[in-house]
Amino acid sequence: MVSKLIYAALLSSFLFTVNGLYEDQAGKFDWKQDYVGEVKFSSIDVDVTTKRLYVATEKNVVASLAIDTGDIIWRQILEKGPEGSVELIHPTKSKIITVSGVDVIKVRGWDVKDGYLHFEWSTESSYALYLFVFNGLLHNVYYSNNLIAVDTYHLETGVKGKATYTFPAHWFSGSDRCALSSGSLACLDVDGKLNIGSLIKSNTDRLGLDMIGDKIEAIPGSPIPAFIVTNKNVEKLVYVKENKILVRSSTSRSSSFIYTYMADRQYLLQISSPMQDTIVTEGSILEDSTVIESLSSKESKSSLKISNPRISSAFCGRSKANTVNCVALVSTQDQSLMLLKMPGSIKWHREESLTNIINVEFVDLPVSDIEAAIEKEFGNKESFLDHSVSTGAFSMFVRRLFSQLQQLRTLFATVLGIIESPSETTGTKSNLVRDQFGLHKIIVTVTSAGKIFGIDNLNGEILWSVLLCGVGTFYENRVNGLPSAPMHLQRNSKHLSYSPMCTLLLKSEKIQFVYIYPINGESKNGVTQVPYRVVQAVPLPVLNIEMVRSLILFDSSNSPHLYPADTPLSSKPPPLYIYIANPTNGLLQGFTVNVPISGKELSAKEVWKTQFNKPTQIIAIGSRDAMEHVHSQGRVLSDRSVLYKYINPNMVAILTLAPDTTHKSVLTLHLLDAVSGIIIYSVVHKRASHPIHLVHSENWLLCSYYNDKTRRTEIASYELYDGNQLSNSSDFSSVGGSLIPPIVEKQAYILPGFLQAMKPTITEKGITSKHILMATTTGHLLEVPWAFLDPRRPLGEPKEEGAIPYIPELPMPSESMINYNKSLMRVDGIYTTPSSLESTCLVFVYGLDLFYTRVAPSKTFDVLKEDFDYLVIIIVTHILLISAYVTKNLASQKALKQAWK
Amino acid sequence: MICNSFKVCIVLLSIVLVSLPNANGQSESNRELYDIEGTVMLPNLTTSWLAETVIQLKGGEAVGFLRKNGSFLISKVPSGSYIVEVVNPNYVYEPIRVEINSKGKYRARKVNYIQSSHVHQMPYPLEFVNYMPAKYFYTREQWKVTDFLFNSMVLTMVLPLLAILVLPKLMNDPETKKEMEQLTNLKHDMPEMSEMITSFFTGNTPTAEKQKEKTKAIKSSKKSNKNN
Amino acid sequence: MTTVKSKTFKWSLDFTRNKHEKSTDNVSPPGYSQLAGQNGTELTRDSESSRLIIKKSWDLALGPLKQVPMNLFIMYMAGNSISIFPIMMVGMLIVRPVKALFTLQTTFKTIEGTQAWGQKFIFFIGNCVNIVLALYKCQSMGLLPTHASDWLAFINQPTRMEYSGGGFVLS
Repeated sequence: MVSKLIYAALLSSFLFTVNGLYEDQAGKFDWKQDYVGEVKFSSIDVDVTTKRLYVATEKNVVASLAIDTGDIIWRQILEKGPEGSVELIHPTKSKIITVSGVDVIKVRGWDVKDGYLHFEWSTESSYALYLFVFNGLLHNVYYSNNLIAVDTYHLETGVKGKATYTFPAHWFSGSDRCALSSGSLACLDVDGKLNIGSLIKSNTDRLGLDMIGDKIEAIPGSPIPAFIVTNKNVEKLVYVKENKILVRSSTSRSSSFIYTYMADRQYLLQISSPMQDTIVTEGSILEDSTVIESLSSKESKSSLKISNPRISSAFCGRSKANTVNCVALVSTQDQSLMLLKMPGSIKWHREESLTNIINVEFVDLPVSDIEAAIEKEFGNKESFLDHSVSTGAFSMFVRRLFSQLQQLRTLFATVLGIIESPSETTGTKSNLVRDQFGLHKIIVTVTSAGKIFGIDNLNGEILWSVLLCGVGTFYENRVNGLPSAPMHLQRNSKHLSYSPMCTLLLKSEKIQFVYIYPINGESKNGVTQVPYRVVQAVPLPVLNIEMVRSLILFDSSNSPHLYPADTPLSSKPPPLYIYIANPTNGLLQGFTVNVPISGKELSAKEVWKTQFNKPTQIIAIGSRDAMEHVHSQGRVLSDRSVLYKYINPNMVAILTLAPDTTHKSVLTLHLLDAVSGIIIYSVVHKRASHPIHLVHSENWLLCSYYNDKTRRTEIASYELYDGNQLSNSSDFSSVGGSLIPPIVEKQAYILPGFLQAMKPTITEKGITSKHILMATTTGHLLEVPWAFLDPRRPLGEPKEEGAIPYIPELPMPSESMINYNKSLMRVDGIYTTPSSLESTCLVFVYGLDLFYTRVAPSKTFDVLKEDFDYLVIIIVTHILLISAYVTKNLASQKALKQAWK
Repeated sequence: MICNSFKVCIVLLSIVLVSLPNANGQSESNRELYDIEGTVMLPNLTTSWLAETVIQLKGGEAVGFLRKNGSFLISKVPSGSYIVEVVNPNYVYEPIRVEINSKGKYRARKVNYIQSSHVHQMPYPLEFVNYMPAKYFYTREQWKVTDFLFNSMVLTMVLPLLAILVLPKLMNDPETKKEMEQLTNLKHDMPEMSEMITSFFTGNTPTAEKQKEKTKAIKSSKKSNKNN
Repeated sequence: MTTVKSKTFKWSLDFTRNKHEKSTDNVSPPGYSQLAGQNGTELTRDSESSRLIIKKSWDLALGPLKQVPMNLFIMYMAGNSISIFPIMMVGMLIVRPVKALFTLQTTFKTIEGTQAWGQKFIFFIGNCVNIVLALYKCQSMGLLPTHASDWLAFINQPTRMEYSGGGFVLS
């Protein structure tokens, strides 16, 4: 037993040397960007010694940012979900106090300087309507028995204040028609009356005003009770001063903020953005509407793309020239955060919507112009049929001369510095050309805020952004309720005469498409609409004559359409099958689609149907990456025979979860052939619960779940084999082939931790061995060789060479944590894509932080290591050359002497 | 002893028992919520260390933060079994499993994923004392002369070279020369297969053989005469 | 003997002296007639030289077979592990006989006679034995592609007859 363990440890240590980093590699090809999320509350601390901002965000993050740069000084991440949602922040001299949670209210005081915890207390309150702080007391407002009750707690100790006091609340009209601002509750009556009552002390004083409104909103962070009442798109500012309700008209479509400059003087700051690239600010004195010139400005910046800005917090002061100056922290609807200096400019700008990435695509860069010219001249004819290149000897010669002349010209031009670089015509930054190894790409990300970013993968710089304003809304993922953005790279950068094309599907009354040209973010054709509701979009396996990978769109009546429509295809597509899974009614349908080469008159027919009955819910579908290649078709056994892999490209894994009376919940994995509808294999996991992750690659599957019985995370591993005989080597058919079910090898492993996301590496040809990237809740990105999750790990003595004996617990050595001490919290997903180097796979991790790195699962066998000692090799070869020459001379001299003897 | 400390623990506990009405307002069986307390030994008690260390319960279902003295509190968790982990980017701590039964009894134990029935009791309030710096990087191999010299390839190259250089010198020694000659002589004495086959095929062997031997003998005798 | 020596002058050089000595001084043993000997061997010398040639060519022909025990020993010593030296040895074991077989004609060009065919045959057989031995070694080292696993890398990914795609309904 012990020897076995030692053996395993040795083996594992050997295998783990495959991945991991050297210290000098840290930060060389990886980068991490920290974010905080969309700002909910903020406060500005202009104290000269600190000069900080404190923010609490929708991502349940409390952070401190530097006022000058916007960099994060410290960041604390609270509980996930509603348990950690920050409801209130309250800055004091040395602490920043946050109130978070829904049913259990947790009050925490953070050190302003370093962000550690000073105190924490909690209380349960399931009915809390509003929370506010007044006079060092936390007021918890709730509604019970027609009374509005207020509990008070000492903010720092949690000691409950005197008795709960109550107000008669016959005027309370529900939380959606009321708003709380600065300790005063304002409610719109049904009969058109506005009531405002203070909740600070037990008094029944109530101010009333006749006012009809549809909506009431509190002005955030206002020092006096102030509300915006909207009535049929007319906004009015209502505020209470000296126990009087005052009303001021407000500019529509702008956001207001009130700042108390002196005890009795309030400024009203308003901000709006009439266009995506413009910010208009306006400052006035609250009472008399006198416009303060120094605070009114209009700024345009072409790189700016914002919508609906809102001042989150502000600070004003009087400058030497006796004009009012303000700094305002502005958060926008597209979740960007910026510091605005009034008068003046945007000091810094953070794109916090990158914390809500819902789809990622890596796009190759175009080749440089010189290379493109060479390609055009000598390139394969297949892809350049459209050029109508004549192949006569003379014309070839002329072209050669011409292109050489051009190269000369560009060379001279670059030398003389006339143009910066040969690739000026693409209109993008000069260095955005494809490199030799395909390591430089553009990360196109779609965020739930409706903003699309193009990010340089080498340094994380945002190259461009597109704001989808009023175009449409995202689809909704019915499994987890999150927005989903189907994006298809319809044309990649390989086709020289065409620009790459990314298509994003959005919904509105009519379905919409957005084209994005992924190199510079400009959409050429813009938005396209189709007159039907799309329920599924599947890319075709063949390109059309314009090198576009057409999409087959299924409308709600299950009839197919081609998009782009009416463009003939380059060749006849093979038989195409499409499956649609509906998580709401548990229906799985398979269709066969007939796509004629002309691209017109498509037809579909249902071929199979599977129904999962009500309590069973489809929670995940795992299909293989369309780009994936499987290099080896089998596995060599110890007796040198082959166990052939069952690689069915049409197989999808369907995970269903069903509640169970005896086992709490039952997780079922079905392996389904999407063409024939046959269920190849099914397996049940009892008492399995979320978090559940599924990985499907090559001929294996991994399914991680939390086992409620044994209270640990388990990873079930499955592998499918055909057997010792290769059934049909040349082609694979789901319908014509044999119906012998594959051999399924299975094994479960324990992961000592909790998973946030899981993804296999992918390489261009599939020769490199596979590793699994796992993001754990402790913030580590673990690179686990698949050999550790192999279901054929032998239970006894190892029979196969290199097989690691089965040990239930997976090792988690710190060397295999490829993000070293750059912790990645709240990971939403991992994206992997191959580079042109077979050994290297590019990895992008998104969530609260963005992290990019590249991994080489079988080490970089196709390039020299970066620590390769060129100097030593050069010196050694030179020494050898010189010594060879010298000894040759010496030898000839000696021979001569010998001859004369 | 264990029992004793366990009792003490229970006594020490400040259990907050507050009933929590169901969100729907229906009076279901009231869940009781408990606090988990403990301390973390830090390599150095600087404030930045405190700020970047987080205590996670069951993979982040609830979190606790460190106060200035290294103590933490995870408040208001329902009864159950939880893994409590200390998350620090640079140090690795051993996790502890905490079990709170429905009566509010606490039990802390070593995490054993494989044999979950095996109990190794740990003190409660939790004490995270075992830590070690996380080793994320491999150290690069340094070039050493000895590594080079004792490399098998180098040895295989050098040893024949030595043999070539040293052996001729040994050959100059007359005694070894003699030995060598003897060795070569030995070879000649061995019966030759080719001869046998030749004789087998040519057939007229025995006389010729004898004659040959005769001539040989004569020659040698001549030689010896001459020498004399 | 002494008379001849005295005849010579002190400073004269006699280039023929040695010749003289040989021819005159060598006394034939009793019963030995130089003539008779010459006459007798005139016949046998011819057969002797041809015999020698045959012997030499048999030597040549048997060479490969003689190497067999040595090769077996080398093979035993090389072991079955795959590393640079065993590989080199096995390579030599294969290359040598193959080379020899290719140069068979040139090797036996000078050899004529009645037994030439048999010698060639034996030489050929010997080399074949060596090759077989080397192949056996390769086999035991696992270098011969005799198993299905050795051809695994040449199996291409099967082409898909049908394409499928899809996923959750978009809503």
